[in-house]
Amino acid sequence: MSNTVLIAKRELRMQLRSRGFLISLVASALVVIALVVAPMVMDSDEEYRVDIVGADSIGPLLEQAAEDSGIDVSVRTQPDERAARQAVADGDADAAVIEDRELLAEGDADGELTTLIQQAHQAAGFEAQLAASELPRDEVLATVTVAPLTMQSVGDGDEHDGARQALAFMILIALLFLLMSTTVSVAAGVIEEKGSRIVEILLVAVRPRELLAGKLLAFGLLGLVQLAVFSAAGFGTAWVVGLTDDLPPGTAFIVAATFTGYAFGFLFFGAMAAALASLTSRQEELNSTLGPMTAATIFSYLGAFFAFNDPDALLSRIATIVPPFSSMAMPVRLASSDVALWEVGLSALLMIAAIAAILALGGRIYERSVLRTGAKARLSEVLAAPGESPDAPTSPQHPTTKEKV
Amino acid sequence: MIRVSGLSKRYGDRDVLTDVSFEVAEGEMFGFIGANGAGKSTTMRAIMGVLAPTAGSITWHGQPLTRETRRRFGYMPEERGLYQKMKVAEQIAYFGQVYGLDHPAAARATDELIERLDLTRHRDDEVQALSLGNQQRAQLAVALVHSPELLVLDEPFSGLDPTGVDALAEILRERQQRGTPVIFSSHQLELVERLISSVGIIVQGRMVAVGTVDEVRQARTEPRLRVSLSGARPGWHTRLPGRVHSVQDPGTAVVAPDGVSRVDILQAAMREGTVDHFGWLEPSLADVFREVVA
Repeated sequence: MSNTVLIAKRELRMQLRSRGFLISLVASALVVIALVVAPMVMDSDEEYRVDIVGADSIGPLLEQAAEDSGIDVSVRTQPDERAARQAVADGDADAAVIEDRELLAEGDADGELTTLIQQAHQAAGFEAQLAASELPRDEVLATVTVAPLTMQSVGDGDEHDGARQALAFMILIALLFLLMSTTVSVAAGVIEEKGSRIVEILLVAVRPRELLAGKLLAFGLLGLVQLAVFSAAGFGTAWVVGLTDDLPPGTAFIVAATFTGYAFGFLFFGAMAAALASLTSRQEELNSTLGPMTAATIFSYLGAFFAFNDPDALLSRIATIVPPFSSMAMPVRLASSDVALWEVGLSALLMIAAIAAILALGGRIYERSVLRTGAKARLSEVLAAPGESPDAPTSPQHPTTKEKV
Repeated sequence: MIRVSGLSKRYGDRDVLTDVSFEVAEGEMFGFIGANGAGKSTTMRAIMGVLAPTAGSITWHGQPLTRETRRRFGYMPEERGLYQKMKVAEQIAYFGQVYGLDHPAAARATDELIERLDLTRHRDDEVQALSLGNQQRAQLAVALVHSPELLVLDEPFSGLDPTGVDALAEILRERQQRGTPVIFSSHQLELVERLISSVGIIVQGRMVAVGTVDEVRQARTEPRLRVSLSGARPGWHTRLPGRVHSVQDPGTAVVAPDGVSRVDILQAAMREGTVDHFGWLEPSLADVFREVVA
């Protein structure tokens, strides 16, 4: 069996056996399910409750205005202002109208609701003033009534906008979570082996690159498995609650891009994490040594967040093409909006080139520093040092090895 | 046979090893002794390829070492390292595979070592749950699991209880009798003396004495006589010819002849009192070591 596979199998066995991993997997799957179900639950529950004191005419007008706008409002009559204030303060009512004169709310009333109530109040006042005046009712009405703006949607796929937003948001969160957790696991493993000197026994028999490759293989697969579980949980729930029709066309492509984005991002950040972790032997220094990687991940998250918020802005388009940001931003932007195929292709090519470069550089740093003992090594030192690698003396042509036999 | 020739290691302007040479043949057990920081571990790490020497060569059967060769060596590093959360038997078998055994062979060798090293009760415990002594046994099992062709053990006896010491000594003798060269370091010099066929003493990165224990003894220490008298007057030893090395009790002194013949010394002693004992003193390895290091 190849060394890399042997090492990857051990890592997988240890992780899959760890209760922490399994608990985190189940918990995150539940979060995904909750994120799919939550909007439905909140939607169905959204009804404004308005209490009215005196001035009976405003109640029906408010109900009428609410119905016209497609908003659920239930109107209730309270005997006096004290009762109404109490209800608002307790959260039993979202707002109360006192004698068609005052609007009570806890803090600022909801904008939508305020508009409706003001509209009802205007209408009630108008009717009363019109009745009190001698003016001819029909003429006045004809004069003051203006037809509302007609609404028309432009563009395509807008009936999927909600689902797209949700999908993009979940991809954003899943990628951030997985890229952070799996790369930190790689780093922690590297430090464990270096700090305990297990590397000394391992590297007698295994090349540093094989060891590194085994780790990346294991945690990369583990991330993909988690992503598969999240996808199954998310789409499974969507199917059960009947949301699948809302999914935009090309969802399969978006999912494939998310898996690819994770794999690319993991290789990039994982190699970076391993290289940085190999500089230290102490778990306490994990966070500080991973600083540059954490910063790169956060910037990628910000890029992806732009792509989520405003998918067609220049900044979003740049973030989806430039590595390593593209590994997170591209799947998110694909979910939020339509992306030209050339942009997808270019982004993938650049990312592959960046991965090749970071694997070469990271492998070199790892190889050179993982057997160093003592205090934390500096990156510049490691890169400048002549091959202090364990491979050096194994080669009979090594320049400093004088054969005297 | 493993041959180390002219091995040097320099960190910056500090020489850690200077021109260290020795060889260990089939069936030989080589004890490596020296003060802390003298260069024992550095030499062993160079043999195992976890450190690149600045100069010198190491050959195995006349061939330069490769990773494939070293994969057939067994190594116990100075700083013990095992995966804390991995179970004992699982871990030994894993390293067996890392060192080239297939799965069934690794499992068989693991079972055998677990029994030999008295770890049966702990085979399914995580390493972190073990006492330090038992962790040490597990570490030894890792070094031995693939029946290595050469054993390089850095302080294998430290931390072991007397039964552990005996079990390990027996295993090492067994491997030695099968023809495996064994290199180990230790500060327990009595133990080293009991086990080894040859010894190397390293002082500040230089090998100051190499050979069989007798060779080293002869080369590095002057001959000494132990003289015991009864009925002698105080200060009797100052009247002996030669140089008094030490006085062990009022009736016993150790004398370095310094060129005086032993017959003259014996006659002088007989004049001082009744001679109870007169003979060459065989210095222990510890004596030799103290003399060399001083």
